[in-house]
Amino acid sequence: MNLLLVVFDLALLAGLIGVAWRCLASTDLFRAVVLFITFGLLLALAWVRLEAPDIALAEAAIGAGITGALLLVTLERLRVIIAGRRSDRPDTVPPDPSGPGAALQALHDPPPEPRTRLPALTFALVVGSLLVTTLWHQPDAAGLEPVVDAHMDASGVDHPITAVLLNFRAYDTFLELAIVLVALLGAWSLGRHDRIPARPAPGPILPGTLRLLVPVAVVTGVYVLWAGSHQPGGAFQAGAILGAAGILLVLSRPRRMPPPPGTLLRLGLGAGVGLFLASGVYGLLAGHGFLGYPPGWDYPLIILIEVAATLSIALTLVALFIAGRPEGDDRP
Amino acid sequence: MIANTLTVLLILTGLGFFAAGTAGLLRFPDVYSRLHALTKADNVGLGLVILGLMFQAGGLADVLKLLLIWALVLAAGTTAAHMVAQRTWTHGDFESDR
Amino acid sequence: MSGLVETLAPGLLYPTGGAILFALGLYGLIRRHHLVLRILALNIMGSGVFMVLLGIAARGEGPPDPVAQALTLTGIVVAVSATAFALALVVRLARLTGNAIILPGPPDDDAPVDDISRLEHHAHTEAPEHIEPTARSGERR
Repeated sequence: MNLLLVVFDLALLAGLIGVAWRCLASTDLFRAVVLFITFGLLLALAWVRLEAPDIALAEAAIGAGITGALLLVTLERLRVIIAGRRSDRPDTVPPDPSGPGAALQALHDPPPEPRTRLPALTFALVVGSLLVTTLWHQPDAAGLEPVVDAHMDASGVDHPITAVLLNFRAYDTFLELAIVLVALLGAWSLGRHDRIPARPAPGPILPGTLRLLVPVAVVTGVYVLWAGSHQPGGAFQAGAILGAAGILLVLSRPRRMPPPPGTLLRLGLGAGVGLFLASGVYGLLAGHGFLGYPPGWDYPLIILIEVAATLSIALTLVALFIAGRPEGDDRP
Repeated sequence: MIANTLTVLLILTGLGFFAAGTAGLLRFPDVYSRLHALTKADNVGLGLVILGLMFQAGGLADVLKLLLIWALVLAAGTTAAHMVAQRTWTHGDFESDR
Repeated sequence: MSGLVETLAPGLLYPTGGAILFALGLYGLIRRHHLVLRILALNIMGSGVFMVLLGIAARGEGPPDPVAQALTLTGIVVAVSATAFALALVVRLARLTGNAIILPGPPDDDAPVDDISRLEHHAHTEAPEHIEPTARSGERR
């Protein structure tokens, strides 16, 4: 039985490495992105194999789903921009098709020059073999699992990963939410909201399916959030599911995006970080240390912060997909 | 014991359908016949795998969750196949398009 | 046979796979020029790191170390935000310079960069023109 598992592991790893290789070697960017999405799904399978269902859930929803949607919409944006500029002013395109002009084709990357092969290969091989040697000679250590297990009673929740995320290492999670927010602010600082270059799909199939799927996605998201306190699930996975539902809604009606009410949107985007910070400062003032919870209040506070974080993550993912500040919103 | 045997049998049959669908995806000449192979074979394959897993479910809630997964994949897969086919119909094959 | 199975336990196999993915991503990052491909290469490197982390955490009995899992979960969300920001930068660069490729060699400081406000205007007026024809071709059928 173990032998079968080893065969499975080897096949999965070979598949992952093969897909990653084909993705990075492809000259057609569309193909590369599709292969990258495949890579993400295979990776989710690897996380299931490693008995980490939380990560598999997040990887499938975020790593494959939302990153894939982001990549595809970016390719379409690039195609529109670059094709538009060329037809606009043909003089900017170098006339020689074999020269560097060929490299400027919108969604193609020419195969890399042969002269960079050897140095790059040597460098990657050296780094890779150093890593492998280090990993194979690493001493066995118990890790932090016993420590987490010993303190589970004090955490307020029953699922160790949620306990680590929202209690033992709440500082990391707080900063992570801040990073997500900063990434959105960075994207917003680059300009106004961009028209989403998707074509409205004719026919009733897509709207009909969405009418069915989006409510189910909302229910699933809330369920995953609630489940996070005692079994795999939690704010990140729930936020990703809700964000994916939002992206589907945005995509299905690219022509008439509902104008988001600015203040409400900003409140939602900042809710996770804000609430986390408020509870952290309260903990500090009440003498439990920064991000410490008052005794007995840990469970309600964790749930409250998780709800806010889910909302913020979902909204931020949709806003990152749209990229750029909302139209008609010229406030700094 | 019977449940385990049924599970193994159903999942193996389902995997056979998946393999057939994948072979079709790889071997068929154009987008429509590939979609045909995928949607037909994989939906049956998934159905059989889900049915097989139901014999291992801990309770009614798990069975319902498995059914929900099946329904969701069916709905999403159908829509995606429809969109791919429609895009091919209006814009031509993917290969010649790029 | 049991010795082989022991050597190829997930605790060693997956970190090795992660290291290979990391090196592969590094190789792609160095050799490819299109910025979207480089972002893909960075993401694959990141996935390699996650795999090393979780693979090591999976050594021993039972599910992996919850701290490593929490770190990976955090990492996935940070990776998607960073990717989204990087892609926004690529789109901005394409709007300014007309391509999304950084070719090797010293930076060309003399390359003309157009007036941004004019480009902004273009970006907002020309998008519908690219959508319209395709929508019409759908109705024609």
